Amino acid sequence: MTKPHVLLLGEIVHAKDEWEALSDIATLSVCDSPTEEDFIKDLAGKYSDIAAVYHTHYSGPAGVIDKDVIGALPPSLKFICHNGAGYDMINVNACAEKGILVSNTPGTVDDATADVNMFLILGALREFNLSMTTLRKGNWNKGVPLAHDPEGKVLGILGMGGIGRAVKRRAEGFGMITQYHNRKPLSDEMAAGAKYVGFDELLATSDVISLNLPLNAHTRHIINKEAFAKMKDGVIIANTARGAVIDEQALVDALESGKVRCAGLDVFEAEPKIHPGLIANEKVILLPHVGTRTYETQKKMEIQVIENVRSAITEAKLLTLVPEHVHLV
Amino acid sequence: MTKPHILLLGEIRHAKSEWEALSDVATLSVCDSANREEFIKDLKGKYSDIVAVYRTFPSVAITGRFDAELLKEFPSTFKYICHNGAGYDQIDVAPCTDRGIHISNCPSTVDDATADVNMFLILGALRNFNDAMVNLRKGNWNAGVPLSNDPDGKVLGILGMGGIGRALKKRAEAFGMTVQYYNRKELSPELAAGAKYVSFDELLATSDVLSLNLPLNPNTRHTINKEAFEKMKDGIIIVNTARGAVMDEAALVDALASGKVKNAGLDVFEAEPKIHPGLMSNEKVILLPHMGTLTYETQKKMEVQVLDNIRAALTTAKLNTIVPEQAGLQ
Repeated sequence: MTKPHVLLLGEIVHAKDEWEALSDIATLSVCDSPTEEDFIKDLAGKYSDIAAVYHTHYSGPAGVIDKDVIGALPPSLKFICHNGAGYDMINVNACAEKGILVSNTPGTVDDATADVNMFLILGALREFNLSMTTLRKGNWNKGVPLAHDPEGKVLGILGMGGIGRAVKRRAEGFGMITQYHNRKPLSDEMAAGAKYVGFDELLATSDVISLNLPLNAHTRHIINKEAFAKMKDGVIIANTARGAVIDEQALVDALESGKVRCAGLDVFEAEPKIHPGLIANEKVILLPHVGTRTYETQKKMEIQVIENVRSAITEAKLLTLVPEHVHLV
Repeated sequence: MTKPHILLLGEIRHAKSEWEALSDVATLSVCDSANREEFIKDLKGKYSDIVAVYRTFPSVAITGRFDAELLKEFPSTFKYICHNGAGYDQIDVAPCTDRGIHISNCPSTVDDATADVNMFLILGALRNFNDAMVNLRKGNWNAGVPLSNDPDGKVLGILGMGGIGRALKKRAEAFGMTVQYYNRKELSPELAAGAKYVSFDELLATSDVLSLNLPLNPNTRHTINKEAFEKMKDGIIIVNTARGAVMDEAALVDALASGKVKNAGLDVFEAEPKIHPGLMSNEKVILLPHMGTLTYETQKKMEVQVLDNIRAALTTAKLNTIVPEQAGLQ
């Protein structure tokens, strides 16, 4: 019997051996279709028998898996194994309708993303971008105002998944008190002492708000003008989730009015484009979506995807199904 | 009986009412001498009966260092230097001790804020965040920004396991780091809280990240020098929130150029505010201009700690937080 056909959409950089090792149970192809149009054609040709896809969010064909791509996928394709915790570029509902299950990479991303998140919280509370910039201009700390300690401040985590919980552990090392809002309250064990509050209470009572929720139709612009109006004066905002959970224009307005004292951002609504109001602000601390960009974490994520592929092929199940598909199995 | 005369050298910004409240036990003056020469004249004039001084780190710009030359100009009434800061290297301790002058500093109130800066720099250096931030601000997003490294599982070597070093350990462990330390003396198991005590050479040779958390004094100047760098792991990360001069800055620049040091995070510099051009031109290193304790909350706590030392000195003849070198004197 021929081995199932697995297609790689994008690159594997670190776990090449582990990828090659899949050839014991699968035939491996790397997508070489030059354009999206070519890819759609190839799905009816050389890729017409693929059973599983290793998907990366790259700039090549099907980097974004929308209804058009899904419509063209062959009936043999049952599994899309995505490299990334965020999978907003895959239309998971359309996949479900076609009987295709999707996995992402929770867990492996937690520490590296929470590290960025804590760096941004510190950087924003302490307003370090301004002092770093002042130094680099040759002005030492001239004109740099005093800032604030994290100790004793209330950190409100919106979205208490793996990353949110990893942020909590770090924040507590700095003396912060954590509260959270989540779709559902966590068990006492998982909450580990963090207080569950309603969304409005999170906004109204947090000194620092960290966005750690996935981007989907419900969460787009969840932090908007109305949300900012409910927050404490001088609140700190940190975002390592997806830019579009915040209305970026509303954030710029809130920074200008002082409602938001400072912000730390790793993601932007239209990245790589950034609102000019943020670029012009020397206090905000901005990173270019470096959340998981370390050798160690990139390798762990690649291996996690490969393990999902292996499980899909050998046992017809995914290890880390996206939450929207859990009820389908 | 007249109240003892105390002198403020520098500014009190947050604990003004606590300063004023000292007038129940002292006569308060604010130093208005324009420079060291005038200060010395004033020590023979209007300040010739002072008992204690509240001095700030920036006031060195007026008085210069508290060295033997300056200390001999102080009146015989003078007994206490209450310094605002954890580091007191602006004061020469030996001539003070010789003259019966006792010094207090600000341990513990500085620990959290300094450790926060320290952890920010460790993350920034390990993760190459300066490179990424600069790249973004130039409009290049993350093009050309290479992958970096996680703190998880890395060995953090702390040189100087005082209050700040121990506060740093707590933070580093939340990021999955393993902590070892070198200190003049090994800590009790309670204080060490699981950190492994190693020799200086072993600290250099086996740490992935080396954090400098020791005071500056004649014994510790240039502790981290060319020879020390040679003993370190290739690709080590160096972080310094202590004093610039515990490290030979030129040797650090060389070590960065050779790749022995993969990256560095610095809040202090040998000749600050001057910074070695080899650091200024390096976009990977993450540099802060001595921000250690510059928050409203911590500045107030420190000011209050100095004022409490003055009150204790005047009312009990003992300082609350006498510097370690003088611990046996009271």
